[in-house]
Amino acid sequence: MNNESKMNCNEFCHIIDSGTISGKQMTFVAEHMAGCAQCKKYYQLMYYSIEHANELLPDETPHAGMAAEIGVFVFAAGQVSKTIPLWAKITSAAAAIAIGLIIGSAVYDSGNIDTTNPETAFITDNNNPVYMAETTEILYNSFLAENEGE
Amino acid sequence: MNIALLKKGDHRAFQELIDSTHSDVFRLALKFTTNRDDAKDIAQEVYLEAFKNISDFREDANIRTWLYRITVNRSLNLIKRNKNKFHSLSIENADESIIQIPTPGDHEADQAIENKELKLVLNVALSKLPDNQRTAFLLFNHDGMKYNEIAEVMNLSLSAVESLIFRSKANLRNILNDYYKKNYASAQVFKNNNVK
Repeated sequence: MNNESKMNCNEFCHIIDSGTISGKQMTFVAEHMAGCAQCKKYYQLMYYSIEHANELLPDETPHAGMAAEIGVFVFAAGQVSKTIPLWAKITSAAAAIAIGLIIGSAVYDSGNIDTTNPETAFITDNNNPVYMAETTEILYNSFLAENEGE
Repeated sequence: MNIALLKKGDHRAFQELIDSTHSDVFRLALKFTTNRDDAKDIAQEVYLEAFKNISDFREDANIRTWLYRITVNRSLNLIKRNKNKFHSLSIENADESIIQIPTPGDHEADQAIENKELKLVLNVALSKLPDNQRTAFLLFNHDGMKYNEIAEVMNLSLSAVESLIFRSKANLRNILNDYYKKNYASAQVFKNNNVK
């Protein structure tokens, strides 16, 4: 801490915290920093690294030949994607959807019971007690209908 | 730049585009990743995407701006994919290796260490910013890009860009202030009380 500077550390920090340093202020700031290491560090971190970030951020030129390497990569990769024509991509997608629908509907049908046909249902779902009760009721009603009047 | 030829898929025209712009694309990617290999990978991906989607490019638009937009997206994606690698960087880890006591009178060595520390601390602080603030700040510090150019790359309004840059600087100040207090201001009671 340099107490002999024209600008004290408190004033110094106040200017830095404002985020803008005028030309006139910069003279005093520089003069103060020359004798105060801690304030210099404060300036570097809180002002220079933000307002002059372009001098600190990485900025390197690409190596010679990178443009050609990128070209080779792009044209080779672009060629691969172009070898499969669009119509082939659309046809394969449509075929995949159709196969999916056929398989899906087959699986769905195998899990369903035709309740309008009691005989089939009896064969396919004879372990279902609810359905067995319904079948019995249908057979009983049918029997009553056939023997009506006797 | 002959956009019509580019749209026809002309390899020579596209190679000319690469030749004239790859340095800017690489340097911007390097600002995001701080790694040359990653920056090169991003540059390759940028031109591949551009080559495949050149038909979508509007002829009245600036092709460099379009390439920058792809570069920003690709860079942020890479950072997200390698979250662990990028987040392993921390100011705390950097302290011991960076902060060294230079030989008295060795001004150049002193300066080099100071710059090394500032570069590292700034990059770590940037990695803590939200994506949009970091992007605005990095574009602002890339070849002196103007607000309207940044707005075009980020597809935002001018006022939104101004606000993002203002907030990015405020957030950087907070992060760097914490670092200063932790490493330099412990014995300086006055600054601990003064600094927000």
